[in-house]
Amino acid sequence: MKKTWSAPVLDVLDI
Amino acid sequence: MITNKNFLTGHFISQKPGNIVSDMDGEKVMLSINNGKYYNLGDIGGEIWKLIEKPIAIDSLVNTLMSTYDVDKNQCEEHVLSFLEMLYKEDLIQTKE
Repeated sequence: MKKTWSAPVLDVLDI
Repeated sequence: MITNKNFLTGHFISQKPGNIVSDMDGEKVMLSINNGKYYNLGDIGGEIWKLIEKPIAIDSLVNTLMSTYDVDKNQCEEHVLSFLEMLYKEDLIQTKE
């Protein structure tokens, strides 16, 4: 069974 | 064939060296030694990051993801190109024609 897709996002962490 | 055009179309994409990657709760978190920033790539972003360890054509990348995830080609391509563009802007990937 295939996994659920969601749009990949690059989250820039504020550290 | 790629239907969503952007500047990365037709290029081979690979990681740029100089990043430390760690798994946190199934998501990939990365520190760029070059710019000192931390990034959360998320689950699917982490999967893409793994796939671009060596130079890979976007077509191959999309096909590999489609074999794992329930997504149609057009949407997958659009999302992947948009994600790669973000990586490119942060200088985290390199491209080769």
